[in-house]
Amino acid sequence: MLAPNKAGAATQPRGKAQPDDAPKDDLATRMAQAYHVGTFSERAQAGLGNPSRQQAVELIRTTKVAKRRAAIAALGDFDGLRTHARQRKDHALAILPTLLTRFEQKFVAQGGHVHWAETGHEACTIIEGICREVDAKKVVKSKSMITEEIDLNAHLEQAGIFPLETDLGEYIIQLRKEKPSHIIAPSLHVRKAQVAELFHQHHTDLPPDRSLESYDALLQESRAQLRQGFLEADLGITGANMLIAETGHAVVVTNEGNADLSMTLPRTHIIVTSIDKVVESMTDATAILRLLARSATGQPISAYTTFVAPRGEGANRSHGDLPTAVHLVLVDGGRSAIYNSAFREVLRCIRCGACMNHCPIYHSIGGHAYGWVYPGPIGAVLTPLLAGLGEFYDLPHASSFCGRCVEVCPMDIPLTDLMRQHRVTAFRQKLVRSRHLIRGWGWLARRAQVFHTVHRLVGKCAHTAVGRVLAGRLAKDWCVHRTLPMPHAKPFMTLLAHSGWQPSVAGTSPAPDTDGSSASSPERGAGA
Amino acid sequence: MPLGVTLAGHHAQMKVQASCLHLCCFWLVCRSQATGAGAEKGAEGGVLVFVLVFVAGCRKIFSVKIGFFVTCLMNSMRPSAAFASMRLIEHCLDAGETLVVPSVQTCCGQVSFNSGDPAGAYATALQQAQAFSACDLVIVPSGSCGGMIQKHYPTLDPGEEPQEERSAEQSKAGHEASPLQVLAGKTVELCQFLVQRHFDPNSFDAEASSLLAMPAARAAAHEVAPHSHDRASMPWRVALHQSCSSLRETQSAQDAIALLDRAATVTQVPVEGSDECCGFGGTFCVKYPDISASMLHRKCETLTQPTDGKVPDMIVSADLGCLLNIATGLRHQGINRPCYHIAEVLAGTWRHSPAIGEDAPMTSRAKHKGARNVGTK
Ligand code: SF4
Repeated sequence: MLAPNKAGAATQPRGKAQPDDAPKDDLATRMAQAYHVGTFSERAQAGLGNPSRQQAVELIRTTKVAKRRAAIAALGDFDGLRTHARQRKDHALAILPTLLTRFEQKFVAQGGHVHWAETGHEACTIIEGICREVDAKKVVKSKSMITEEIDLNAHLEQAGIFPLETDLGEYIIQLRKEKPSHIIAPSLHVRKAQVAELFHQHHTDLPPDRSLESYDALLQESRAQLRQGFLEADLGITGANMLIAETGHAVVVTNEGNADLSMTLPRTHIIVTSIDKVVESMTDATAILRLLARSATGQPISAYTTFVAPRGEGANRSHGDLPTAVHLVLVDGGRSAIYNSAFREVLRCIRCGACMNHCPIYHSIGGHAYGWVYPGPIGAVLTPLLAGLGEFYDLPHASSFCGRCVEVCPMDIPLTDLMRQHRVTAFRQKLVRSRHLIRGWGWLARRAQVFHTVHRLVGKCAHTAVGRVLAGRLAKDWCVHRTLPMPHAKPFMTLLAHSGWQPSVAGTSPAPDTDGSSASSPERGAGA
Repeated sequence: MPLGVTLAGHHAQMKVQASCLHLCCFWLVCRSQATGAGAEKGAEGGVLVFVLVFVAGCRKIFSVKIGFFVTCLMNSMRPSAAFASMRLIEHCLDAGETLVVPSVQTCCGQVSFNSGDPAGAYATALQQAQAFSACDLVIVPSGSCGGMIQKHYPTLDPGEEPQEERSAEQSKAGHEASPLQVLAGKTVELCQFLVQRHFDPNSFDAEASSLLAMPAARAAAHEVAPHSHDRASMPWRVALHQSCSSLRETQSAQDAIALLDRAATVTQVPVEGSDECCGFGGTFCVKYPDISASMLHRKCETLTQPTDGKVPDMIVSADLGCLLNIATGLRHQGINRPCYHIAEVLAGTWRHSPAIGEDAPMTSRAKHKGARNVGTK
C-alpha cells in the first residue's frame, strides 16, 4: 500500500490479472460473492422488472437532476471551480505519500491514533481490536462507503459486537438485511409503505396499531429509536469525506447530523477512510465542499459539515462529553494498485453520486444490478478494479457511452474513457465474447473494396425471403423490443456510382444564383 | 478568388506555397511585358494566353475539395439521407470548391474503438485519413462518427497500448501532426458546416435538385404518414432528438436547433429530458437489448409527448443510429410517428421518402433505371 515507507511499490492492478488470480482470502472478493446474486443480466432483469424500484429511480431521474442543475446554475462558474478542484486533487494525488505522512504527523500530534490497513480484512481486524480494547459491545455507525466495501458490519457481528446504522437510509437497509442501491441514498429502492411495514415488524415495543402513513411519522419513530442507540453506544464509527494534511482534520459531511452524534456521544471514535481522501489544505477542502453537495443533492452545502480533529494537548476539549480517544483507520483496499495504473484519475472521486443520478443505465436497472458496493458509472470503473474484471466484466460493457456522467462529474473524471480502458483489457484477455466479429469488422473496414462489396451483397440478400428470415434470427434480441430495420437494397455508394454524378468545381456555372449566394449545382457545372 | 475559404491542414499549406510561386511568375511576366513594350505586337497575344493559363491554374490551385463521409450506417440503411446531405453541401459550396465522395472510405472505426480493439480502430482510422487526404474539409452527417473523428482520432496510436494522453498534450510534443490529427482538424459535422455557411433552408429549392430525382429518395412505393396530413397543416411540428455525441462530442446540437429554427416548414416542440440517451450506443443495443429497450421506452415517451394538446408530427435527429433505434422502437409499439434525418428535413426531400424504419420495398430495377436518368443529362 501507499504507506509512506512503502510508497511507490508498484503492484499490478487486479483488473489486469486473470480473474482467477485474485487472492482468494481477499475480503473484496468475498464481498463480491456476497453481493453477487446471479449474473449481471439476471440482476439487471430483476431491476428492470421491479416497478417500485423503477418508480424510485424515476424520482432520482427527475428531481435530483433538476435540483443539481439549479444549484450549478446558481453557482455561476461551475466549470472554473471544477477545473480548480480537479487540479488541486490531482496535485494531492501526485504527492500522496507525502501528504499522508504529513496528515499522520498532524493527527498524531493532536493525540489521535493512526492505523494503516493494507486490506479490508486487516482494517476490520484493527477495528475489532479497538472495540475489544474499550470493551465496546454496542457501536453506532454513520454512513460510510468504505465500511460497506470492507463489509465491516458482518465482521463485527461475527465478533459479537452490534453495529447500529444511524443514517436513516442505512438503518432501513440494515433492517432489511440488504445492500445499498445508491451511494448517497442507500435505501432509494425502498418505498414509504415498505418502510412502514418494516418498522411495524421491528419496533415491537411500540403499539402495533400506530399510524405510519406520513413521512413525518416514520421520521419521528426512527429518530426516537436511533436516539436510544446513540445514548447506549460505547463506540462511534464514521467515515470521512476528506482528510486535510495541513491541519490534520477529517471532514465529515451529512444531512442528518448522525455522524456528529456518533463522534461526540460515545467515549471512543473511529474514523475509517481510504488513503485517496487526503487533500493538501483547508482551501482545497472547501473548494471540493462547494462542489460536493451541489452535485450530490443540489444543496449549496450539506446540512452538517464537520471538521474533526482528535483531542489535542492544548485544545480545550476537556468538557468530559467528548471521546477520550480518536482512531483513524486508513485503508488501502486496492487503491495503491489503482494509483500505479492507468486508472489513477478515478481516485479523484468524491462519491457525490451525480454520475449515477444522471446515468440512463442506472435509471433502468437500479443500483443492485451492479452487484457490488458502487453502482452507476463510478461502479462500472471502480468495481472491476477492486473486485476483478473477470467477475464484473459486464459493468464497463453495459454502457452506451452517452457521456452524461462525464459531463456532470464535479471532479472531471473521464468515466467513459476509463470504461473503454476496461474494455481494452477485457478484449486482450479474450473475455469479450464477440471479439472475432469485432476483429472481422476491423479487417473489413480496412479494405474498401471488400467492404463495399459486402455491403452490396448484404443489401441484396436482405431483400430476399431467406435474407429476411436470417436477419430476423440474427437480430432476435433486437426484435423483442423493436421492428427490424432492413438495409437498403442498394447502398448509397452503389447508387451514387450508378447515377453518373461527377464532382465539379462550384462556381463554374455560367450565372450565379439570383439570391446572391455563390452556390451552384454540379449538374449545371457539368452541363455548362 | 475565394481566398476566404477555410484552408485546413497540410494540404492547404502546399496550396498557399504553390500560389505564391504562381504570383511570382505572374509578376515576372508583367515585368517582361513592360520592358518589351512596343517591341513586338505579337508578344501581347502571347501574354494574354499566359494570363488565361494563369487564371485557369489559379482555379486549380484554389479548388478546395470538400469530402463527404457518408458513414457506413447511412450508406447501407438510409441512402436518401446521404443524397439529401450532398444536396445541402453542394448548395453551400463557395466558388472554387468541389464536393467529392471518395469511394475508398469505409467506417469511422467506432465499433472497434468502443469494443476494446484500439489497434483495429487505428487501422480503420488510417484508412479514412488516406481516403480523405486530398480534402480540405470533411463533412460527416452524424454526430457520433463526427465525434469519433474529431475527438478520438487524435488519441489513437498504432501501438497495442491505448494512448492515455489527450490530443492537446500530444500536439504539444512538437511532432508534426499525424494523418489522424489532420483528419480530426478538418472534420465537421453536417449541421456545424451548414451553420458556418449560413445555410437558409427557405431559399433552398429542393425540387430543382437533380440529386433529388435519384431513385433512393424518389421511388418510395407506398404512402407514408405525413402524406396523409393536409399540406395546409404546415409547419410540421417536429420533435428533435439530440444525440449524446452531438451534445457532448461534436457539440453540434445547438446547430441542429438553429437550422430547424430557420426552416419555415417546421416548428420545434420542446422535448423533456432532451439530453438523455435513447439507448442506441452502437453495439450496446445489441449486447444489452433489454437495458437499451428500457432507455428507448423512456425516450419514445418523451419524444411523442403532446405539447399544447398536440403530438409532434415527426421526429428528427442528426444521428441515424439513434433514429433507427427510435423509429423501430416506435413501430414496435404501434406508434405511427415518422422519423427522418435532419438532412432530409432541411432539404425537403423527406416528403418523397418513406420514413426511417418503414421499409421501402423498392425493386432494384426501378432504382437502377432512375439512377441512369440523373446527373449525366
Ligand atoms: S465519479 Fe464523479 S460524479 Fe461519480 S461519484 Fe465520483 S465524483 Fe461524483
